[in-house]
Amino acid sequence: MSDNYREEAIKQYLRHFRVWFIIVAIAVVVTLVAGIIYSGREGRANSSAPKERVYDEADILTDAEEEKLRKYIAEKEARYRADFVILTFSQPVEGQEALEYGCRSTDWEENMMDIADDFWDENGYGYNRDFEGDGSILIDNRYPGQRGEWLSTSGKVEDALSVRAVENVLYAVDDYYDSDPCRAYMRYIDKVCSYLDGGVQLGGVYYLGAFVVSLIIAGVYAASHLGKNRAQDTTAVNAYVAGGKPELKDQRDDFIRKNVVKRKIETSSSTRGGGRSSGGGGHHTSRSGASHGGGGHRH
Amino acid sequence: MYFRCKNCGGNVVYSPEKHTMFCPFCESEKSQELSNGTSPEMTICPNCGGEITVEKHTSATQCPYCDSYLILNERVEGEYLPKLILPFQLGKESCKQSIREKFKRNLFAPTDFLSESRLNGMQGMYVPYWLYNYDTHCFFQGEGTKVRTWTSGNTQYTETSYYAVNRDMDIHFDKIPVDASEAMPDDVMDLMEPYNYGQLIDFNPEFMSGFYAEKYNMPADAVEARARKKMDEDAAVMLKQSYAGYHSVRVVNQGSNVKGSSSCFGLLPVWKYLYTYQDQEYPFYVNGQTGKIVGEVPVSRKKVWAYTGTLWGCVAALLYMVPLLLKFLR
Repeated sequence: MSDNYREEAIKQYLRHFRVWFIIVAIAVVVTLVAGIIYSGREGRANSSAPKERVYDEADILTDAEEEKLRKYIAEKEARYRADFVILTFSQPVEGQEALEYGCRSTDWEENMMDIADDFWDENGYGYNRDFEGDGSILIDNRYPGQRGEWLSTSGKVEDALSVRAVENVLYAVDDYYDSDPCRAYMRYIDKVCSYLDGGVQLGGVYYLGAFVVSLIIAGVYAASHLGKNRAQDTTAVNAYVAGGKPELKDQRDDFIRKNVVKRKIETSSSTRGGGRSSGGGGHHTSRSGASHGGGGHRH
Repeated sequence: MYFRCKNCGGNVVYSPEKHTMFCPFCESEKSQELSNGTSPEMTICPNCGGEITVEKHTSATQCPYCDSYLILNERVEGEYLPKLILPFQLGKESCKQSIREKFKRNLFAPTDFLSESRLNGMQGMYVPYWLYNYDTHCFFQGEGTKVRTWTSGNTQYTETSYYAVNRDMDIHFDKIPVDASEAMPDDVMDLMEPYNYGQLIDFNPEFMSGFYAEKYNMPADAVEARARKKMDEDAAVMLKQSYAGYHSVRVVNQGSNVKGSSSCFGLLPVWKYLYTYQDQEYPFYVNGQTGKIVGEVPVSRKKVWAYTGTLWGCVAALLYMVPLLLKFLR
């Protein structure tokens, strides 16, 4: 190929992809700018909340485990700009016993939700502000017969976690709830952080999916441009017939017989399907008026 | 023979754009005079005396020395005299434009595929065709059903009516074309169709000036089977169309026979563009009357990889940036 044709080929290529290149360039610039702004953001804006993140009132963690969790949370807080709080306790939250203990109702879920929301609101947690700030709290009640955990979310964590995501976090905690509580709490932090990573709720599956999808799009694009312009047979059947049509000498359609078949129409009765309701909480407003999301699992 | 311009002595050719004889040297029209030269031999150019190579079936060619278009008398006379000719309606420039228009969106074609210099190499040629006429009689006997369904109350009724279907028809096939050239692929020549016979006229060698041509390579009976096949297929379709409208049809008896047939020799116009890419030839044929194009575009593997890879890269980059961007914007 001569230089002229090479030049022409490059021009054709650039002309064809100019819109794509512009879109990708804009996306890169926007991402870079957003990244720079993100990394340059000032540190924690909320100074009114206590420094403590791990409250082991039920005394189920060793001192070393508590320290390990505090370090882990500090590291994640700095990276994700969200508070992560863990509270363990042991108190009745259901039935008459709960009312005597100061709870507002006899329902396990309502009371667990109140405790989590109130603890968060009253302490003024939230990375960027002390009301509806970013972060989440996991409370773990070890009271015999009423054990279970509740996750309360706030701010951007509330935005990032759907009902299904909250369930997934709780399932991650459940895996080690009895065998290794420290590990269960770390899983809570990890799982919430993975949702804060953006659209990567499926983790590596997303990137694999993006790879496959882009490959499929490229394949369809290539195929659509490869199979073009094959000539078709465009000769009509009467193209070489004098006058354009045959001369019909005889065209008879003589009725012979007929038969009729009857069929009774069955009326189908409607079926009633049963649904399965899923547990877990959603968005709600706490007693202090702040917006929270979350849900809980009872053991 | 060749056609010399009475005004300037140049070679006069038939111009499809002007629909007349035209001298490209002095631009005069209808200024041709027939010249047979001095040499009776087919291998000597009657204009310049240069020695030319003539293929076995060639009836019109171009002198490689003086570029004059020559018509070989012996191959357009006697048994080789065509009865009919369909003059070129599409000139080279229009043909080039048609090819460019049709293939401009072929991203993966080599860059020089549609270049001026390559397209300039295309040649117009008259392809020898046998044109067959048939008087055909077709008949059909069968049993057809028509089904009607309705509902009354909670009962559905299905009524099936049976009919004795009889059809008898004569079909006069007029000039079914079959190419009589060994060099032209049969399937491609079939795809070149249809030609509009309204412009078919009695043979005149003037229309051959400016183009290549061949005499028929084989006699009419050698290729008639292809014409019969086309006729049978078309007749079967028309017969079937005549009893359309039935829900189902059971054939009792059907057939066709030819009551009379004849054939004649004619020349039909085709432009040929031969593109060579990586030592492989890619021929393109353009119907010289309708502009219909038949040919498969070569694919540049480099382009396929470059274009597909680029698109893949762009889509993947955008998809990979989405979660990052969402994270930063939160």
